[in-house]
Amino acid sequence: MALTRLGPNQSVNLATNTTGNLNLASQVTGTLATGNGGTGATSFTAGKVLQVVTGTITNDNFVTSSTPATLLTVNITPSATTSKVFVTCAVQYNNYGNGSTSYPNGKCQILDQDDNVLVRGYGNFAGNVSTDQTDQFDSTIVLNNLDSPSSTSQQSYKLQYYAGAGRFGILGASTRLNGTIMTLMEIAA
Amino acid sequence: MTDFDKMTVSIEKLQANSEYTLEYDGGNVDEALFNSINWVSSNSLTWTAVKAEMDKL
Repeated sequence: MALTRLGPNQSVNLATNTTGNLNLASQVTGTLATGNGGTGATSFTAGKVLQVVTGTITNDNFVTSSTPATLLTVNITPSATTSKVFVTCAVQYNNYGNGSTSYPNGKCQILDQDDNVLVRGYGNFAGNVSTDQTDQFDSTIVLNNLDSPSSTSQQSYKLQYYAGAGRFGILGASTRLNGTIMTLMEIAA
Repeated sequence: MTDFDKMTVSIEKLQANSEYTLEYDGGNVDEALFNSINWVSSNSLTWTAVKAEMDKL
């Protein structure tokens, strides 16, 4: 078998100039630099993102009820029971006096597979100055939670919203196009 | 005040403390939109009555 010894700065194209199998289980050392298409890392530790799932609100939705209503459900199936699920949701919302209150407010919340509330946000507008109680206020709520479902079964995360007073809206259309989005990330233990 | 705002304010005026959810795509505020309201509390309003109230605003 002919052997060629490579000197410094010499290379061989493994894509075309090799036959048989190349055993990379041993005798391989060093780091492939990022400039050469590598990661620059010699090893990996826990905390990698294994998968990402998103769900988006594409319409404007409004509620005057104090009963929570589900707007969005996003599913993810963890690959290991030790994985964590990072849940993040940016919610663009609208408070409106609706002719009934100077203090419109509403809440949104994320529920886990078992309908436990993981995190809740509160949108309050206590600055309604018009006499007919029809002022508007828009802003954004960000909900975050690191969940540990301890399961490899599909997990459903729900975004709910409800009003405290006046009209509460969660928005995703037109000038807030795709403006409300939930993202699930499976994080390796 | 937009037509959409007028509709929800009119509902509040005619039937105070109404509880409902409503999805709106920014289109026409008409009978079809009114009929799409998911009522949580009981409703006895009609589109005709709501539209008449809207026209006063």
